[in-house]
Amino acid sequence: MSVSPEAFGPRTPFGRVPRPRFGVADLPLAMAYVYVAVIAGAVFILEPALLDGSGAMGANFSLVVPLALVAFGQTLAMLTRGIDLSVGGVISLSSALLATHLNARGWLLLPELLAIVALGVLIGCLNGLMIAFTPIQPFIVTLATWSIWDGVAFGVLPIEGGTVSPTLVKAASGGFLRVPKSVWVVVLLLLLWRWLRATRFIGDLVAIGSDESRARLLGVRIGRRKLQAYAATGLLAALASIWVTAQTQAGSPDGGDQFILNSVAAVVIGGTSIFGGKGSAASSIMGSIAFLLIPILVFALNLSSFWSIFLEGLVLIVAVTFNSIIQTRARR
Amino acid sequence: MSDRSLVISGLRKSFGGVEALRGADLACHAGETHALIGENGAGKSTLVKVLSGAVRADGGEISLNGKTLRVDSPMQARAAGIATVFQELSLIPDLTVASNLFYGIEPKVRAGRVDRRALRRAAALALEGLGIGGIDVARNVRELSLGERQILEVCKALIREPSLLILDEPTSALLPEEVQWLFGKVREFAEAGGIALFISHRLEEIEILSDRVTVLRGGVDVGSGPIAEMAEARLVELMLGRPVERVFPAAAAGPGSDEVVCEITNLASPPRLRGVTMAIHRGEIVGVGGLQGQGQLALFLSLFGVIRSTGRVAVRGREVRLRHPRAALDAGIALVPEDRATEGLCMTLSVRDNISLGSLSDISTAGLVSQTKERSAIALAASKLRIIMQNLRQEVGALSGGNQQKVILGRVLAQHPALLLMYDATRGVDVGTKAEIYRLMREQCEAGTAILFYSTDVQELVNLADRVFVLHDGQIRAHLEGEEITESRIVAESVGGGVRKQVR
Repeated sequence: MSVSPEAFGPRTPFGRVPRPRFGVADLPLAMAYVYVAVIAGAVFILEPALLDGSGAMGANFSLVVPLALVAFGQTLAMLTRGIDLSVGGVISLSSALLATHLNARGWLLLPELLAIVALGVLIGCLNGLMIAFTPIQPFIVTLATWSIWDGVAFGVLPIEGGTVSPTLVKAASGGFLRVPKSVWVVVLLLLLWRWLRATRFIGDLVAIGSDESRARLLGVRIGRRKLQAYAATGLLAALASIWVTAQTQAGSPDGGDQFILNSVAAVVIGGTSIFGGKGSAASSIMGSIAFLLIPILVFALNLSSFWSIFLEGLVLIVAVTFNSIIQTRARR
Repeated sequence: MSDRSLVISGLRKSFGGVEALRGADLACHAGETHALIGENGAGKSTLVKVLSGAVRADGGEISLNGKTLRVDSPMQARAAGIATVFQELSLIPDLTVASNLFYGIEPKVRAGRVDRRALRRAAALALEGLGIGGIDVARNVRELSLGERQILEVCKALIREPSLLILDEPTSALLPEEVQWLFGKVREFAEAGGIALFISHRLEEIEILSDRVTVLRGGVDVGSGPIAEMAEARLVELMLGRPVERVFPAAAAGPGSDEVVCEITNLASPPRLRGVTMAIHRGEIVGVGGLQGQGQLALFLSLFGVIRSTGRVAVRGREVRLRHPRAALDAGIALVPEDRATEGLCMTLSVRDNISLGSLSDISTAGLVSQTKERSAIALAASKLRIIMQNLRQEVGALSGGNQQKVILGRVLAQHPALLLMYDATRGVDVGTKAEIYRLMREQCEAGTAILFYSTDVQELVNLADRVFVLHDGQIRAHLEGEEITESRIVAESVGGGVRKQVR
């Protein structure tokens, strides 16, 4: 349909500011909340102690934190119609460094952590430069850099182990105001997205992912924005590494690899489009929670643990099918 | 010459050896609407792209309001006060109407964050100020119709209060009253001292709207003057570089044969198409009209097996189950789609591959393509269609729009269809190519093909069709024959019922 002729006759009242409506196209981004509610509800009915037992919340969220951090960054990359596989390399290398050279006690640890974060940003910038200013696909660029940084990580720390700063271990454990720190981190991430999503930065990423050539006509600095997106992804991956290393109290030269596909899965379950232009880091965080609830559900059902791998795939395919059906309908 | 003007001199631009602009000059003054016309490939779009900063010129000078401009990026063009209504539209589908309208000039930004409430309010007010109601500014642009998007693209340009407003084919999806609205806005803009540069293929629009006109051909300006002094025939002659007697071919000698090529009974694909019955005869051109989005697309896509439908379709007496385009092609139904880039052609393949793709089975033996058969089939198609290209290996994407459309026709005709479907196939095609497409349609009919075509250009229906079906809300509202096929009758039946409006 074209604009109705009425549009040029009697006008709709403009006194009220129209509110954004929830449309069918927004359904995928809301589904992650449903998945979390359904799986958590099932676990709660079967085995409530797995969720509300002493220390259960903190332990569960402790696993959510790194995946949520990586998925947050992955969302930024995917908003631009890209992907970042090198998060695995960033996490592995950071972890190796934290367990060998950068493990001072006390306040000296702070500049070392800053160095890790700076390393993540630097690696992200290198990805961003390649992606923004060469015609190579993000998938290929970050596939290569993932391997490169994993290789460096093995050079730094050939086998799992090393010594992690006890200061770091202590800082990342326990609670704050009687709430586990892991829960705080996830809440902060959700608030960060609430703040971030109205920024020009995210607006530009959506524009780029939605239609890059039109975004260029709008005056979006495409190269700069992509660089920033991948730098942010690297930064968040470095933070994830700091958390994981503190939790496991050991470095791992390939510990980052599991986060690559898991973060993509979390983002996709969260409803972010792999075709760019549509997504929400908050939904990706919910996707991370849903994804990590699956092994807990399997445990609650008293099933063998291979079922969780099976179910993770099943949830992923259901989510993707649902999203793509909705998106095809919305695009018509 | 007044100080407030746009002066372009000696503008040059080539793409990979093809010279799109070869030293074009243009002068427009404040307060005037200047039309830029020319065939496809004459360099109009390139000139627009240069002015809007989308591509960088190889040489030449642009000065706006007395100052020499460097337009190396869209940002610089915007800073210089140039706003463009792009033919392909520059709205971002996944952003809301409000975000699109005020992109980069949001009313309230603090610490890099956009105040969305203020943004929506500003957008609603701006649309109201421009006389547009009924568009929810909080909706995503993806959910809007093509017509709505085209209107918003105009609003977006006007909101930026430019000193130069460029409109590249801004009316292709607009209803007559919307065109009136647009023309009113452009006149207001010019009267307020702006410079409007208007590009259109519709000569009648140019005569109504513009004060002066410049004609481009082959990348240079070949004529310029007040519109009052340029008769339509003179403009067409300048555009083509030769006089043309007529755009539309002579009407067919007599009534077509009685042999029914395609019988359609109660074809439906809810909600767009709700039961259509018609019979198309051998050697007949049947037109489909009506307002945009009344089920015409669904009708054509159903007939080509792209979307699922119910009802009965028989080609040459045999019933066809149209579950896939392959089934339609096998039955002898071929489609020339509207959107060449996404539906019709593989842009990165050569002209040769694009033509032979459709009829590979005719020119292959045991699954292998016969080079000899392919070459002769293509040479025939290319010469018959007069495609302007360097050679058959050239990428289709490098051809001009009209020539791309001819490549599609070439492919479709190589299949010798019994029923040729043409869905708004001449949209955005220049007069010269249009005339050739019309000639080809007539030739095909005389050779026995039946043609069903949809057009947004009522003139085409009037001048080409033997019979016209007007669709409304997925059903046939009127069936016009012979003398009944007039512009006013078609428009009246399209708009329907109570109000009978005169087009333009």
